[in-house]
Parts: sequence; structure tokens; C-alpha cells
Amino acid sequence: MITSELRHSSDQLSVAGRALYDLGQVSLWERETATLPRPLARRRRRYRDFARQHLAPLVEAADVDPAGYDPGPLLTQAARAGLQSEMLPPPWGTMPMGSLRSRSLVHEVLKAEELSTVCAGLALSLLAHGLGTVPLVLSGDLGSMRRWLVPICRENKAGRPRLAAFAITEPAAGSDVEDSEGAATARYRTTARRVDGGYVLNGQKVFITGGAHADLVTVFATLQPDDGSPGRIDRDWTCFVVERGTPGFRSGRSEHKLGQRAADATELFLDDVFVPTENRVGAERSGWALNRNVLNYSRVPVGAIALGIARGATEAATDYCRRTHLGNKPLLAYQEVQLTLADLWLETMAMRAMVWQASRHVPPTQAVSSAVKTFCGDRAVSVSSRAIELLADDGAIATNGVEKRLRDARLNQIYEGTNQLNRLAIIEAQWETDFGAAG
Amino acid sequence: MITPLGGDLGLLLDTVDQFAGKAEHRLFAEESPDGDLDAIAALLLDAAEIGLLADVDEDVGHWGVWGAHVDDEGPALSLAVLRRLGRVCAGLAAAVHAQGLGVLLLGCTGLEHSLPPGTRVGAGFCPPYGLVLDPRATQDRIHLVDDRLDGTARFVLSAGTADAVALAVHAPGARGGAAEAVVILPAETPGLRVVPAGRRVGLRAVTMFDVAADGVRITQEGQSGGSSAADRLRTTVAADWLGQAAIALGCAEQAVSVARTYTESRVQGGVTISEHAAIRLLLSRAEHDAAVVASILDRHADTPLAHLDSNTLLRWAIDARVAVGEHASRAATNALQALGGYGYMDEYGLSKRLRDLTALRVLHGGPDQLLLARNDVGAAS
Repeated sequence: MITSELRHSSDQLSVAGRALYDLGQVSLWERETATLPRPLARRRRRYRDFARQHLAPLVEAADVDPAGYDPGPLLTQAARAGLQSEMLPPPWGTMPMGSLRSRSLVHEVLKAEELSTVCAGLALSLLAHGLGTVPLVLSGDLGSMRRWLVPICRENKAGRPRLAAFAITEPAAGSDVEDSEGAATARYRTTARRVDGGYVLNGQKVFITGGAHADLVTVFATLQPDDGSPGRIDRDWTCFVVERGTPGFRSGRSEHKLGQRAADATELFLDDVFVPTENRVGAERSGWALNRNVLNYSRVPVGAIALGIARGATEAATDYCRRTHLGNKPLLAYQEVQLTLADLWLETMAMRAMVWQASRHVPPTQAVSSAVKTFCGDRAVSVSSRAIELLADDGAIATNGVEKRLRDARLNQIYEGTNQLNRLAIIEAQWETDFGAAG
Repeated sequence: MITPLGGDLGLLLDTVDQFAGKAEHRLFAEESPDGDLDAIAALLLDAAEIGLLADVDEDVGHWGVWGAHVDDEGPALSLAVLRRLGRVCAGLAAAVHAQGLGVLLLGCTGLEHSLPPGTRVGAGFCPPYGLVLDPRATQDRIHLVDDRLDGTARFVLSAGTADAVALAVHAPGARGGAAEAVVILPAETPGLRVVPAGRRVGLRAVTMFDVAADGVRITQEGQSGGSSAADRLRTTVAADWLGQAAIALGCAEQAVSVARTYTESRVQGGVTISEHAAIRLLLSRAEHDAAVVASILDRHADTPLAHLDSNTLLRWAIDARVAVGEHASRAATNALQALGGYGYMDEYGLSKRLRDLTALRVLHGGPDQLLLARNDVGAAS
């Protein structure tokens, strides 16, 4: 609250002094948006409006009954709004032109935050498509881009959802993809065998986001070495596009999970699946590096998902404190409440500062993206927990909008490599430099 | 007075373990995030049968959780039972706990009632927001003026459908000058509305509701006021927080146990992940966290409640409940983390434990509210 005394005092400042002193009653969201280049500021506003209009009405149904929730209409609306074709610039897609010039991920993190502020599960159900296409871009394989990415973008841009998913995790191996030392013994069992005209894939993937609905999946499989020795993911991993409807390829069950429930986590089975050579993404045995780089690109938006969750919890807690009274005053008027709310807001601002800064690292590197993913995942859990505590008993009631945020946030400490593995990834990436281990 | 099992504590706890095993089988035979909630009613009948539920008839429920024995024997038995049940299902444990709170709030108030043995009683003492002990919340509480009851008591727990509610009410002008009274009402009383609390993050096996009174007439015989009501309210609130802490401890301990088993079978980097420093740190921290809560719960567990002054009791209870919010929740979340993606799926049961602990960390008060109350209670002399 700006007192009349402060206003009066500021009026006594010189013209220059007044110009340097901002007493405007402007929300933090507007202030931070104003620091963005105008096209990105417009886009942030568009993402926010889309989330409020199209995601908000679905939140409860998708969380309570994910199996009964039909994602089709939302996917169509997102495609029509240009959200599902931002991996290529016009005329093929809807990527902001400035992003290509600056090679920046800023629009991706803006989208992830705005959608996740309303619902991280619904946001993930949309963002997973982008992740599925990232190997196509990062392989640098123009053939793959022409064959897959351009039609995907064109279809989505026309409002006809055509979705991709990304598949690395297996029943006996997950975070191993970050474990360089343990790669030789990692228990990845999905294999590829070279045959005339292509490859035959066998194996199983689990927890694949979007796996229930994707039209195609970028699958990582160990290509059998020519000398007959056992394959290793760090030497033989290769990425393939597998289209739905390919004989031998099918989806299994979607898991029941704690949060982000609107986004399916689905089993995929590959039984003697033949894919032609042109379905290979990039060179044979380039999958280890390709996957690592996909995660470098995806972890910054994942940090932004956590940021959105924290912001959603903060805004819900603030709203509750505005409308709930203790004695004859709203909770907002009590000092202990203000202390906690200030913490929620400042933690969210710190997360955003880190996410925005990291999104300007192009290309993103392992240390920076792992740091963002880890920090924001941990802080989102902390912010959501404190929001629940602030609401006390009402924090446990679903309609108050904070307990779901904690359930959602908890996944950000696990997917895309556990936060333990991501911490070690920071050390690994900077081993020769900041940690001076080479010298 | 009935002393089930001859008062043999070890035998009683063996019986509790047998009941817990049976409950686990019935609740979790099929994969379901909260277990088979339809089985709760029958399990609570079994719990009453073996004497785990306190009762409005002191002789019937003497050795039950928060039964009359706590005045002479201390809360150790109640806490041990709740901790064991918390390992299986925190919601079921909370239901057993809830009946104890109802009986505790009624007990020793000199209140005449004609409730038959087996009556399920919900205890209502929470204002719409904040703690009943917070003077700032006084005007918001359900209140009794000129024998007329108005207002709302929130977050009432009961073991299944409540037959009656025991309400701690603000009663300016009540006998004894303490501005407190306890009233007991059948749940079907005209003018009394029982409103389900809504979809909750966890503890779904215990019934939770709000009670709204609109001009309900209370006879002089149906109310007990003065300092004994005020004392009983403080004892009930303290018992509530202690019981929650015991349930949370059991819940966290079981989460860590599940994680230990998993990490000894999951291989990464050529060895089981139980050998990875990251996992050892997670689980060791989790066990340390459980030990912290256990040690706080032990502090006065063997002291008869009648020998504890209410400030000491409240300080102990607040310490235990605040510790649960931090330590038990962290123990469970670290256990879940050790399972990676599998921990997040309902299949392993850790997601349910985390949800239950999330509910327990704010049940009948958030940590800042408790810490402010602790400050008001004062430091130990």
C-alpha cells in the first residue's frame, strides 16, 4: 500500500527524481512482461489468455478422472492457436521470427510457465508433443525434418493435431541416461536390428508422456553391434521414428500417478516392429549424444513448468488470504501471513529470473539446464508446501487449488532425470573447468 | 473396569499388529490409490470389537485410543497403536483417533448424556480459520449464548458416520467464567447441519465434515461449562496433535521401509541403487527424520495426563506436530524419491503416504499457527 504521505513526498522530488521513482500500481506480472521484447510480451499475454480460456475449465475433470477425460478438443484448440507448431518458423510453423534470429528458447519457457500456472498436467499434455519433435530438430538431419517435422507443423498449424512423443525410459532403466560411468551396464533392453531396407525394433518403454495419443514416437533403441557383442547405450543408441499403426507397435496401460494426471504416462510395446531406413533420426549410434542434447533443451522448459506450478500455488494462496477472515480482518492483514506470502512471491520471482536467464543460453548446456530443472523443481515443491501450510486445513481441500500444485510439483523432482542425477550432471559437465579436475 | 487381554501391553500391541495386517489385506487387495474405502466401516467394527476404539461408556472403551486409561497411564499406548495403524493406512488410524478425541472431549466434563455404548462421536473444536487456542479466532467460533447454539465448527473427524457430535463452543457467560462449554448433540438434531468437507488430498478413510448450527437450543443438562470444559478442550487439542504425529510417524516409517526394499532390488551402474551415495543419503536422512519425530513423541509418553499441566502438554504436542510437518513429510518424500518414477505411481503406495502426510501436516492447524500458539503457551520453566 502506498501511503498518501509517500505520494506527497515523492511529489516534492525534482522532475528527474520523479522520473527515476516508479510508484505505479502495476502488477509484478505486467512489470516483468514489460521487460520482454514486444513480440514476446504479446506472446506471453496470448499464452496466458489461452490457458485461462481453454485449460482452466478442464482442470478438475482431468485431475479427478484422467481416464475419462478426452484431450482431443484441447489438442485441437492448441493446434489452432499455433501452440503445437512452434518448432519451425513460418511458413511451416509458428515459431516467433525473433527466436530463430536469436536462437532463443524464451517463447518456450513463457509458454510452459503460463500453461502450467493454470494446470501443469494439461500443460504437459501439450508440451510433450514439442519434446517428441526435438530429436528431429537436434539431429540436424534435414531428411528427417522434411519427412516428419514439416508435415507435423503444417498439420498442427492447420488445426489438425498430429502429435509426437519421446521415448527413452524403460522398466529397468530411467535415470541411467545421465550416468556416463554406468552406461555400459545400464539395463536398457530395447534393441534395433538392421535388416534389408530398415530395422526391426523390439522392447518396451514406460512412463511415456503422450504415449497414449501420439501419432508418432521418437524411440531410442540399442543398435546391435556388427561384431555380435552386447550393445551399449553410450555407443549404440540410435533414434527412430515409429508411427502409430505400425505392425507390432502398441500402447499399454497408462499409469495412475500422484499428479500432473491430465498428461498420460503410458507403456509402449515394440514387438518385431519394422521401420524403414528413412525412419532413422540422424546417424546410427548417435543416440547417446542426441538424447543428452534433447534433455539439455527440454530441462529449461521443465524448469518453467515448475515455475508455473509455484506461481499457481502462490496466486491461489494469495486469493485465499484475500477472501478469508480471521476475526474481523482478512488474512492478508496479518503479519505472519504477509511473511509467508512474501516468501512465496519472492521464491517464484527468483525461479523466473533463473529460467529466463537460462533460456538465453543458446545452445543450452547440460550444467545450466540441469541447474534450472533441479532448482525450480525443488523450489516448486517448497512453495506449494508452504502454500498448503498457509491455508492450514483448507490447504488439504482440493477446491482451494494448492494441494494439486504440490502433487504436480513433486514430479518435477523426478522426470527428466531425478534431481540427484541432475546435480551430478552439473558436476560432470563442468568437470574440466569450474571443478578443475583435469588440471 | 474391563482390562482387555489382562492389561498386557505386549499382547495388546500384538493384537493391533494382527488387526493392522488384516486391514492391509482388506484395504489394498486391489490396486487403488486410497484402498477399498468401502471396507472401512467393517474394519472399524472390528477395531471396536478388540477394544481399540474409545467409547462413551468408559468401561467399554477404557483401553481404546484416548480412552480413560490415559489419565492414569499416559498416552504411550494410544500413540503406539496409532503409530502401528499409521503404517498401514493413515486414514484408518485417523478414524480410530477421531473416536478417541470425541470421547476425550466429553470425558470428565461432568456432562450428563444418554448415549449408548458404541456411539460414534465426532469432536468439533476448529473455528473457520486458525486455532481454537488463538484468541483472534474467538469471535469466529461456534458459540453458545442464552442456551442457543450458532455458528460453524469445521474439520470435525469421525470414525465413519457420526451418531453424535461433541462440540467445544465459545460460551460467554458460561458457568465458571472460562467462556468455554462442551455440548453433545445427536448428529440428526434439528437446526444442525453436517456438511462434508469436500475432496481432500489424503486421509480419505476418515470422515471429515463441518457442523453448522442455526439457533439450536441446548438444555442446561446438555452443556458443561467453566474451567473443566476449558481444560478438557486443551487436553483434547493436545491429544489431537500428538495422535496425528504418531500416525504420521508410522506412515513415514512404512514409506522408508518400502523404499529400502525397492532400492535393494533395483540395479543401476552394475550395483543395486542401495549402494549409491545419493540413495544412501536419501534413506539415511529419512530414517533420521523418523527418529527425530519418535524421540519427541517419547518425551512425556509415559506420564499420566492427569500429572501433566496443560501448558507442558501443549508444548509437547505442538513440538511433535510441527516436527511431523517437517521431518515425517521429508522422510516420506525422500523415500518416494528413492524409487524414482515408480515412487510417483500409485502402484507402490508411496504417493498415498505422501498425500496422507500432506493432509496431516495441516490437520487442525498449520505450522505457523502452532508456533504462535507455542509462543503464547510460554517457555518451559
